[in-house]
Amino acid sequence: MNSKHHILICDDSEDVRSLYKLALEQEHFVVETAQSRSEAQSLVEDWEPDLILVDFRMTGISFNAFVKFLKTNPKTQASKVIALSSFSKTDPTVLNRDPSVQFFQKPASLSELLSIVQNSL
Amino acid sequence: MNCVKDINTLRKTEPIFTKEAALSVILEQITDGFFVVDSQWVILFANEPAALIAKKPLREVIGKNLWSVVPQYVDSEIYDHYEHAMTSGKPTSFITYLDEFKVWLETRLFPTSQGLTSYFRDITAQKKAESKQTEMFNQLKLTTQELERSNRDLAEFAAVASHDLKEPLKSISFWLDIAGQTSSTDEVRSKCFMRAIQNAKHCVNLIDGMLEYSRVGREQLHFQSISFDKIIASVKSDLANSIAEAGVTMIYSCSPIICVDEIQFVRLFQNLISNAIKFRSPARDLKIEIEIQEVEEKIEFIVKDNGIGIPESDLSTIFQLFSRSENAKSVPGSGIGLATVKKLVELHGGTISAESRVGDGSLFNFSIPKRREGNSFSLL
Repeated sequence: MNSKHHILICDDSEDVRSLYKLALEQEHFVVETAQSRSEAQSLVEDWEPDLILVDFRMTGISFNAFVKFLKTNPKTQASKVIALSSFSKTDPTVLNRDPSVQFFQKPASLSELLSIVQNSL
Repeated sequence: MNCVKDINTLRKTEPIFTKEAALSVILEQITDGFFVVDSQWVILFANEPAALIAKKPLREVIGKNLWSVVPQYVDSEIYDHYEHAMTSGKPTSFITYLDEFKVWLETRLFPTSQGLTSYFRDITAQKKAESKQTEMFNQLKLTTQELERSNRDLAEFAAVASHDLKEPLKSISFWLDIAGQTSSTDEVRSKCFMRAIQNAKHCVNLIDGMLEYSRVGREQLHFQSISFDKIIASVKSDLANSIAEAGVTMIYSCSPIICVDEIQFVRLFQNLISNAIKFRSPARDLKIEIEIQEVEEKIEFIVKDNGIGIPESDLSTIFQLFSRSENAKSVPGSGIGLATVKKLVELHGGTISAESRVGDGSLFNFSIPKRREGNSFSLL
């Protein structure tokens, strides 16, 4: 695994942000967090993440608008985007999605999170 | 043995019954009303029940014009039916309610070349039975709707509760997972345990809230007249510590006597007041104003605070179970309080709405039907 990979975690739950950050830093990833999509947009102005883990259900900027921004922004055009949802994959609101974005249910263990991250990088 | 009898002898000795006389006897004996009028509405024949409608003895009815006997029906729907039958020559039937006798009558009209025959019967008992049946059917429909709503609520409750309980449980498992890593330092382990404990506490709060929510509505309501002062005194006593800690100023316009379930109404205000305390603004002292007024057959309550407020986008979902306002996520909570408030208002037959502006505060407006158990509402 490339320990230099940069990962951005965007989730409105402080617990989730801390959890993923600690878990991924333990694996020597460089991690930044944002509590909203707008904060994530500001963050990527001068930071290039290899992977963006974003909570699918957040208020503020819509998920589709956020993905569009990431795909047009020079700093994040090449970034992998993973949407995490608390709901199962069969949730109809999750099924209608952008094909360039991978969807996963929020991981319940370290191994699940690492597997999602490693497979996407 | 002589078996032969001369029937001519018999005919001579037995009384003679004409067809008309026999019919007349039958018509006079039946309990339903029957009368015959000629083309000028003159009553040629009527039986006793028919005369009852005219409130006159039978002998005073025969030979009279129908509409002079019952002038009260000249400008009525009954007259129109008779007139139509007479002029069209077509048999007709109709059902009508006679207010002066409090009876339902089913009338059949048979026009003839000489006039018209009317036959009517009292169907009040049948109407009452039908009405009772309709009432029972409507009641059954309401019960079915209530059961369907209850099933939907239960399914929604189970779905949302399982989701919201799963999240902190998943976190606990995840945090302990990291703590269990051989590579984790003592500092990391300590942090993980602390986080796992926080999530476990959140689970306990959620379960407590869910139990409180599910209890609402299971208990029989006991409506009684009580002063609003007493309700607020109970709330202040139960929330004494947090009220003192937050330095709350509580003002209410009046203390009417209201007819409510005391325990449930205290619970309702406890939830609203503790919600205001929880989401108070750090920039100013918390002020809660309660206005109570009588609006037609309802009592309206307005509970206003100067807290952090609720974003407009969250106002439509704020009363849903486990719904948490975006700007409230930094404050520990389960998202059950306002759902409980809504359920309590609905149990009292009322409705609730919220208005708010982020930074200014929130206003909860609910009204319940005014119940009349003695002097149930009086502004003192």
